[in-house]
Amino acid sequence: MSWLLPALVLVPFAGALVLPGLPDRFAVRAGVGVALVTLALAVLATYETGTTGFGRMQLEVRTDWVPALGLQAHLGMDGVSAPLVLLTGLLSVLVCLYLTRVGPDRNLVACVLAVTGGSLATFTALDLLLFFIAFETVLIPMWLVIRIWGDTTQPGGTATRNDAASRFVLYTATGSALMLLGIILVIARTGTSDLTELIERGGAGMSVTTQTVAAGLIVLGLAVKTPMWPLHTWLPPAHTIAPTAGSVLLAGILLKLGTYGLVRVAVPVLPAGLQNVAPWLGGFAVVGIVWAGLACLTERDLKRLVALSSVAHMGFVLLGVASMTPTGLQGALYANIAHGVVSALLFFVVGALKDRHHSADLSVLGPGLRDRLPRLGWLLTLGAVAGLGLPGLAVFWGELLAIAGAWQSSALGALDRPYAVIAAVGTAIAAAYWLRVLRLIWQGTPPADQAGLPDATHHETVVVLPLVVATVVLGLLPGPLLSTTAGVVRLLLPGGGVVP
Amino acid sequence: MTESAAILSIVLPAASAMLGLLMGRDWARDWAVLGSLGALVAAIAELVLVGTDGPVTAFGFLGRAQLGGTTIDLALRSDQLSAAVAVLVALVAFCVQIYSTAYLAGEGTPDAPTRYPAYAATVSLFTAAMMLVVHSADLVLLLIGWEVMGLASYLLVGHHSERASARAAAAKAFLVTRVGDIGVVLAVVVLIAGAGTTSISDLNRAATENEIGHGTVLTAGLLLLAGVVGKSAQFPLHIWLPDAMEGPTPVSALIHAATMVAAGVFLMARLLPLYLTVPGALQTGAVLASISMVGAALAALAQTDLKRLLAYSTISQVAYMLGAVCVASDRELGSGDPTALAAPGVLHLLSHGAFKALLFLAAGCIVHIVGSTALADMGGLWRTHRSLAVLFGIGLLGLAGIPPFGGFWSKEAVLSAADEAAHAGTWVGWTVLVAGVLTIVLTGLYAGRAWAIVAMGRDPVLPAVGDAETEEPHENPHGHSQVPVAMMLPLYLLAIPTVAFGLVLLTPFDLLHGVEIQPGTAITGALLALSGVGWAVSAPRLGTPDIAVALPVRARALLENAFYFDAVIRALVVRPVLGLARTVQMLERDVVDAYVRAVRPTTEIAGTVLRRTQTGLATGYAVWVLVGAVVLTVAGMVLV
Amino acid sequence: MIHLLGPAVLAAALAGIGVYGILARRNAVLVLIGAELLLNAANVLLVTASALPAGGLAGLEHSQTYHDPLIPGQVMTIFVITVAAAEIGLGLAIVLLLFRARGTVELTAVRELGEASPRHTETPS
Repeated sequence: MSWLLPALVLVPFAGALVLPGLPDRFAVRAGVGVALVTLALAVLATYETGTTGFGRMQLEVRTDWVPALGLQAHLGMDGVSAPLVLLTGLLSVLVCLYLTRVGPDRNLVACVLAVTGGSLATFTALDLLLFFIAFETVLIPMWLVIRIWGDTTQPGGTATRNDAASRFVLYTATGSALMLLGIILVIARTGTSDLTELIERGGAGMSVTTQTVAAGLIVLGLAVKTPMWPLHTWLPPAHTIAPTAGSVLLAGILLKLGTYGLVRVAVPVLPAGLQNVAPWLGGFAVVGIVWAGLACLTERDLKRLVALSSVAHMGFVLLGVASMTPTGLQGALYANIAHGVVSALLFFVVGALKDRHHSADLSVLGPGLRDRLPRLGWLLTLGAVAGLGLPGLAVFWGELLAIAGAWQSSALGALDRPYAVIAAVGTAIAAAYWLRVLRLIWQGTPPADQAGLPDATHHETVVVLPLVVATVVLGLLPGPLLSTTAGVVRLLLPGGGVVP
Repeated sequence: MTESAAILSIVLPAASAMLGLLMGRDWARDWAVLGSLGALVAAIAELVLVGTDGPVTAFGFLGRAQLGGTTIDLALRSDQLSAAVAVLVALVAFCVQIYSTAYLAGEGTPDAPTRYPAYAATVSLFTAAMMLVVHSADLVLLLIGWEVMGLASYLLVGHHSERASARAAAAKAFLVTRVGDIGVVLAVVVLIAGAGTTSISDLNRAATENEIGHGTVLTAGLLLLAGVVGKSAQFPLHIWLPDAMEGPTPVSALIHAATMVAAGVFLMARLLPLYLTVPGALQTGAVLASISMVGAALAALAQTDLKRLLAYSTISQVAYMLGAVCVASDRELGSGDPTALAAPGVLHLLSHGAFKALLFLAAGCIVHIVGSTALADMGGLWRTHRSLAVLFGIGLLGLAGIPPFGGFWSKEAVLSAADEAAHAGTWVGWTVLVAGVLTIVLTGLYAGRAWAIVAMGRDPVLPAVGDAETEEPHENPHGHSQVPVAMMLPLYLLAIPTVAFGLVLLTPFDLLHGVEIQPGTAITGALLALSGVGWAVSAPRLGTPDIAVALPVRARALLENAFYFDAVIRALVVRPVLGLARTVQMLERDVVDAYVRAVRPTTEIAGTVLRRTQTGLATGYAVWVLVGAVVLTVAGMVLV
Repeated sequence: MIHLLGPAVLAAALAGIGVYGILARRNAVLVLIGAELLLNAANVLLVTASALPAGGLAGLEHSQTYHDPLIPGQVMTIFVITVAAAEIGLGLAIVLLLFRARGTVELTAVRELGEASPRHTETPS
């Protein structure tokens, strides 16, 4: 099955190249087809990986690409990448499906497929340089999505849109430059860029100082993408401006690249270095959780609010990574997937609301959605209660495990329990801001002038239905997803992740 | 068989919630009633099966979650405690579903839609969640049910969300309990880290056998207590419950009286063996329970709203249960099974569930007739609706603890337990005992006051005229003179256990073997309750039906506002958090983002400054070249 | 073998004169001549270094007589001469054009490319 992973990566890229040459109407449907093929390949790859065990690297493919640089096209899949690959495949199908009715544009679909391909390459890359290249590939199509299809009705018009797009690129490119420095340092000191080999070495051959410097650079670079407080200020404008499809991609897939990089590169390759960086990472993570929660309490724009809540959610992911315990790492990976599903759901719903009201301002959207647009209202409610971490829905498990990981972490030193408690308080703040949203727009008496807006169409319902199901299933049956990551996190952590 | 019954009691209401929502208004009523009936049948079957086949300690439900070195088995268990509480939940839920078909009949008006399908589905969802809590063998699984209950409570309190007060109350209810639930989440975390398991039976066993560190158990115990205090509306997190009365009355009966608020006590009873190893946690609980007991009873005395009066009485009665559980560490371990020490609390939980549901549903009927929840609008029920008045009176007698009603037996069991602990010579026992005896008098007083105002009164019912804020949508805003049969039937059904619950003690099943009622305590309690009731009921002879009028004006205002504790919380928590949020928003814009925005002007300024060096004089550039060469040379000489 | 000091002093003198010519002279032709002198100072050093045995000055003490058959110093010198020829051609051409256009070869008189120049404009008129 060695053709599987290259095909998985190349199919969406090929689609992205071909689609702009086709007529609009046909191209958008072809986009759905390409995305479906990608999803089918992702399912097949996950199945293949699962049958032989998620604990080891499976389906490996390795060919020289640029021998002078020692750059190999080396792909593989294990329990860390499999759920993310599936999520990427699913979201790209849903986004393409969404685009068949709402604002169909062949170039936009091509960009979506390019983002999908780049993300899939990042999630399966097993060479540091290849990882970096794939990581960067995603940047340009996403920039185009914001820059070309962005919302120009915001105050400031095109200037605001261009500002958001350049902010996204400049912020991320700066982060990537730092990460590249770290990667080059690692390669220079170890003489290899092969991730499987580097993971096996577990930092051997690099002094603790080198590891700390490299870990600092790589974590800083990835933290921009995650995003970590206080490097998050590109995210709210990007989400506010991006079209619905862009927001879903951004929240559902792009933010996962950063945290995936942390788990795949920073934790296993530079364990001693990350140990030194971990207290800072954890500190920024919990500050981010509380900070973003408080900022949401007074935020007026719903899209900005969902974006800020993403910062809080990613704070839990970062806390889990910083704990460097198996529980915390599993929590981080779970929270990653859960956030991908729930934020995608929320952005679809908020996008639908914005299309109808031509604004995402809370005072324009509300009140009285439950009576006015019951279907969208209930979907928003589901997204909100999932977002506040209600047990029984997806987000809860990630948060619980991240807090549990932080509580028993040795990497965080004396700060482990304070961080855990602050993060737990963050869940109550999340409840406060989501209930505020529901109170302002879901409840209340509908205003007379908003009557007659159409509720969610069948098309929109079908698009979000898989996400609704995933939110509930991930919340009620955490077993399967946790067991895919249970084995592999031990291999990633120094000493098998045994808590002393 | 037992397993199937337990699983069905969870799955049936959950399925009916989903089907009711998906299949639309025409089917919503059938699914809701069928689901709750199914749950009732399953729960009764479970109780019978547990009696014949014995308890089942663990059976799989939602699979296992493997994390780190710990495996969380999301399993259920079934024993007499779970089965008994399940029967109570299912019974009340069934009554409420039947009652609601009439209470929220029709479409309502555009200003106040009934939203019956969503309502019925949420009630079913609540039932499923409560069943999950009752049957959980694992703390994490319990937490899932625990929070879903909270969500259902939020949705139902805010059901009439066109009212601003309902919106505020719903958010308040969820947030206050959520604050308590931080404790539960952290307790789970502490136990995962310290004990390596979250299975309730494993925890109980390990704590008893000292396999877990004392610090871990104490921390976890106190953290769980925070969740219990939040969910059971005990001091200092009780503030949400009176406001939660904004919800439809049947919901108040089910969630905010009979079942959800008792879940905290249920959790304490489940984990009693663990708690017995850390008396500190139980003592804390006992103190909080004593404060809640007396404070809420005092507040109930001066309420001007029937539902708020009942809400405060709920806080007070739940405090009885909590107090009974919390004195357990000072009582003698009789039969060797530590859960027997929780029996008085559980007994009161069951009997309270019956009489308080009856009271709320009767109150709903009264509100239906009067069209208002204010006590001032009520009166003369005895003359106009005799049967309803009798049922309401039965509920009040149960509440006051007058023999031979069920409430009497359970309350005296609680007091006997406290008495036993007090005679063991500890201050905890004395605190609970004194608070309990004091509360008996107060309970008698406010129960009698409610009767005097609602049932006796001088005038027959005067419907509130032109009241826009009516509790439920009417075709005419003047209330109804007739109560639908669907609303009366559940009252009769609930009156049976209210009256005859004491019969359970004739042949107590294992769960209740720990119940002892000391004649001395019982007689004292009954006399005190009777005196309280008699005092209040005799008030009309003195000129006014409301005995609270006798209080000084300022004391009355203090009690009516529950010692202004709400305002304290608002000043100490809500305001600072909102202020902090505004500060953060400002910092986000003016500090964190300022650095990013500063990149552009900084680059511009740097460019302006640096281009001054470009003089246009070729020899000037050559100087820079020379300087560069010198620097490189020197650097090379120094470094190599 | 001549003493090492001779070429070294010669190179230093050439470099000093060259730097003086570049920095102190305002006539473009003289500045170019200064640049040529600098280049030739480097050439002298290159040829000298090439005459040293392998290992440089340290090798001299061990009186090793091995020479790199590629004589890199001489090769580099030829290379520099070639580049210098091209450079001086280009430079003199610019000076000629400058003289035709302005009637002067004073460097202080042509400062339009500088930021501080009063006649500086963003776009050529």
